[in-house]
Amino acid sequence: MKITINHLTKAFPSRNKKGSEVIAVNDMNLEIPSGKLVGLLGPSGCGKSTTLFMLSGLESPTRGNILFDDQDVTTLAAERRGIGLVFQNYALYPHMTVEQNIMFPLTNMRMPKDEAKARALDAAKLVQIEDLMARKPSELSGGQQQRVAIARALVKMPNVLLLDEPLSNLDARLRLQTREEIKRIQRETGITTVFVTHDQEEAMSICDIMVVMKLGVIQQVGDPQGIYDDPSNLFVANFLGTPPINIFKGRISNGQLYIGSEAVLERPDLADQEVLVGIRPEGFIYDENGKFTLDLDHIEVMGRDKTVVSTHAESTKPTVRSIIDSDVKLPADAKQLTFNLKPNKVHLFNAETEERIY
Amino acid sequence: MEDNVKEISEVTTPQSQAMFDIEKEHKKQKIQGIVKNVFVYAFLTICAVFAFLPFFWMFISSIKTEMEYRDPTGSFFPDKAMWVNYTAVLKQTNNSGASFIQILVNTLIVGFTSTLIGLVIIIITAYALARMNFKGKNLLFSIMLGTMMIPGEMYTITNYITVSPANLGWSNSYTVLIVPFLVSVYYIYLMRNNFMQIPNSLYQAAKVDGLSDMGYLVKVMIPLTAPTLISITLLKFIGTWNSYIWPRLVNLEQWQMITNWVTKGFTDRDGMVYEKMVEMFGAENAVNYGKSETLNTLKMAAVCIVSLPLFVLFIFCRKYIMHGVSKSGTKG
Amino acid sequence: MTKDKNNLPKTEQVDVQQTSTPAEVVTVGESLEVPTLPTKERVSRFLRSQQGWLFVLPALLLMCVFTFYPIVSAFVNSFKQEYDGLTDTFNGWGVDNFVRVLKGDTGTGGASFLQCLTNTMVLTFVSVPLSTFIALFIAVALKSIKPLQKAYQTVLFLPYLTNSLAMGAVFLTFFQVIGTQRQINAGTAQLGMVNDLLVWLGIEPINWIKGIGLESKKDLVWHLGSVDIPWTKYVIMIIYEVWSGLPFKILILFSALQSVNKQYYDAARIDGASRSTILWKITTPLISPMISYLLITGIMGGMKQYSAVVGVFGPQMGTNYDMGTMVGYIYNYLELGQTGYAYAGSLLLFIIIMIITLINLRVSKKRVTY
Repeated sequence: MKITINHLTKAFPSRNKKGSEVIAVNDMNLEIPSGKLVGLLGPSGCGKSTTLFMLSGLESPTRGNILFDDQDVTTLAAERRGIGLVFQNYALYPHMTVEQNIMFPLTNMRMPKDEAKARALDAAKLVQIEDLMARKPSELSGGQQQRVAIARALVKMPNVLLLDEPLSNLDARLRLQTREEIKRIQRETGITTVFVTHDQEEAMSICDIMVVMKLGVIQQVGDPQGIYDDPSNLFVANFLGTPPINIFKGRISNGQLYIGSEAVLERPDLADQEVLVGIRPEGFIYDENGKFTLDLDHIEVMGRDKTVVSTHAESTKPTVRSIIDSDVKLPADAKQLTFNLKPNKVHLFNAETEERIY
Repeated sequence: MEDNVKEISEVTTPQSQAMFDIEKEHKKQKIQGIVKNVFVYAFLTICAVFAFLPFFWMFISSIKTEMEYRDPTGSFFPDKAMWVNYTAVLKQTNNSGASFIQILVNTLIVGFTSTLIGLVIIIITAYALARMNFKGKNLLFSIMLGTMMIPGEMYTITNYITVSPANLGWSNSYTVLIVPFLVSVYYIYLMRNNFMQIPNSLYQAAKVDGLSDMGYLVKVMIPLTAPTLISITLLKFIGTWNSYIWPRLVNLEQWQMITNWVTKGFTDRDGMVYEKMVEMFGAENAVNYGKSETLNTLKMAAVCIVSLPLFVLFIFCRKYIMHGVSKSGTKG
Repeated sequence: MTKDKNNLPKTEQVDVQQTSTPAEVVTVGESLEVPTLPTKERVSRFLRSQQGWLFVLPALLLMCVFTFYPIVSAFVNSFKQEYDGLTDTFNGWGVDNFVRVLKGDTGTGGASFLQCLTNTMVLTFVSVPLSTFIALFIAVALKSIKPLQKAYQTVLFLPYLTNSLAMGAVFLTFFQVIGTQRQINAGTAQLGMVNDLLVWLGIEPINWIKGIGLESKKDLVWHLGSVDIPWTKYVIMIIYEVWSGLPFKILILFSALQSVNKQYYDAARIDGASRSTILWKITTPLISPMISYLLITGIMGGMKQYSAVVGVFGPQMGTNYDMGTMVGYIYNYLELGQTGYAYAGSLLLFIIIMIITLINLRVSKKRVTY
């Protein structure tokens, strides 16, 4: 089922009489194709969970509308939208067994008990918890509870599956495992899925489409690699990527990019201006005669590669991180290192608007 | 809006619910919403009327004439108000000559004293149980809790003997109404839990700031638990106001409390009511019930008088009373 | 870099100048003694640590006299036959008191033990579940509306404030028939609001107090052997009990409802549950501990009911205590000066309540989810 969001806005009235209202989601327009796994990504307070809940019907928008396959569901109550929702805290009914939890949506649809049981079993098999059917939620681990929540959401074959920060309550190892599960399940069922996360690594690894948000406004929409390689503004560039992108103050002069006093790259098409320069950690090539000089602080050995931690006067962050292949030999006892830059890993942003200009 | 979606191989769409009929769903939703609201408000209104009706009736009856009261047609709104009923009631003394004022004074004195002293006892006992460590503390606490299970009636009999002239000789006094009930284990338990919720680190910080144990109790713990303390005070006072059994048992009428007073029958002793009736309705409409027939309207007036202070208290302290009830779970 | 035998780089040894004499080494086995305080000091320290006792002393003293002692003496004295409380004389040990109480042998024509027990049980086991049930509906209804919620809450709480005696009298007036027989026949008697309602519905009015149909003179009391079931009087008491018990229960259940995580409701809505399904399958199980608490304490309190009945039916609890409750029965003995019987009665009551409570706890263990 295709989801279309038009001019969606959610404003919360302020608590006291004097304050202004809080605009959680600001005039959002988005089209989600059917059968895709879409991630709403952003820092806390960016409006992603609010958007998700408006899609579910548990929150109603201040303005705008939501269409499911060209039908306006904006005023339709949550229980009638035919969606499945996996809550961040799972919200499993503590007094029911796993089987009863999963069967619950079906019994509400007045499905005959045998059919409901069979369907519940199928859903349990899908998430691989068929052995736990007789247990109560308090007897399950976090990861198992989450899978029950997913099974419950899927068992009614919803048109849309929504997940609210599905991995945030899991430990690191389980997180990796579970995000693959989610990807697999989405592939097998083909249900249009939207999930919310603040972890960019998580989003990048499983989404078909990523929606990066900040303060209620969509910053960029696209596939993960595309957004990573081609950020539309400084925020997006900074948000994606571990370790995060390095940012310097620079300027264009006579078709050359200068950071500090060094001309590090050629940029013939641009007018003279002040810019912010984003350089990905993997965009540095060690060269004894390189154009870009960094003051070395220390080197972190990761095994598969090395991270050079340095400082630079024009850097907007306390340290600069460059990832170098472990085979590359670096001079011992050096105080400064020189690099050349890979052009496709250098992004230029307008110094004031932070919009990407190159 | 950029769309860099890579084409994923065709996935079969799930056998999901067919496109639902939006129109029908919307309509059903609207109707359900209205029906629900109608039912709920109707139900609540009926319950509210049921809750309020006795009070209303009580007040109305208190200002009716006795004839109106006994009239088969039963009116909801009397034509004229017989405020004299109240005067007659207030003026009456009971059999041993104790006036309403006396009884009121009794109740107030007993109420304030027992609430005050009781509160002090509750606070220091709860404080000791919560913060101090002494040998046998847990045992003591368990025993105290155990007594909560036992019906009060079991104590009453022995206590009655204990305070009788044969032993303590406290009958017919304020002491007998106050002392036996100074300790309410329920509230001690409640306050202990409240005190225990104040973090230890606060105590340590206060100690470093040079505060003694007593000072900590007075300057930190009491202010922090003030809402619950206020609730307890109110509930204790209301409890004293409503007490009936014990005063009746141990004291003669002069020393009894306001609830005892209400149970007496009220008559038109001074002829006041009849006089007023004649004045307001004319002699042909007035019935003289004489000095010995108990009048219902007077009884209603008495009930109103007794209930009024509680209402006033409720209006001003509603939040605290309700908060205290939900926390402590008793009527006091 | 030199390497040690494990092939790890050896760290360089650095010579630290020894400036101070090395500390004495304590050989294992020697204990390091803490110097003992003088006895006076130890005693005063101990006393200070026990100062908690000082704080609980007032309460403890009072409880000893007015709580612990009575419990013990009630227990002991109930076995003293022909016990006279005021003179503290008795005539041998035995269970005579209990036997007399059970047989209802008060010697002055009060109600029987069995009658009072029946009254108490019927009243309790009808009014407590009924008021809890109604309170649940009201609490849920309150929770589901926004406008006027506080107003309804306030009005519904009013019955809590009342004096059970005072309001009992008011309730009585709803059911009271005022007027002589002749007046009733002539239709000039005040029948009371409830009877007016019955007449309006086309049902025969009843003398609720006497238990007789007003027109047919039919005896509306059920007689089961030695026990009467005056159900008309029960109706008055049950309605009164429900009315005065509602506010407290509503308050408790309402706050229980508020403590339920909203997400369960959201999840249930998404799962397509209807309102009644949510109420019965989700809400009620989740607040079942509170419901159980209300039922248990309600029944315990109901078994001890006294002042409400006195409020409606007067100090005699009807005619000759025929509406007597267990507690009323006990107090009757007290007023007659038969303290031995009173003790025995109160002990019996305590045992009955304990048994009921234990059964209650058993049942709720199975049905309550925590």
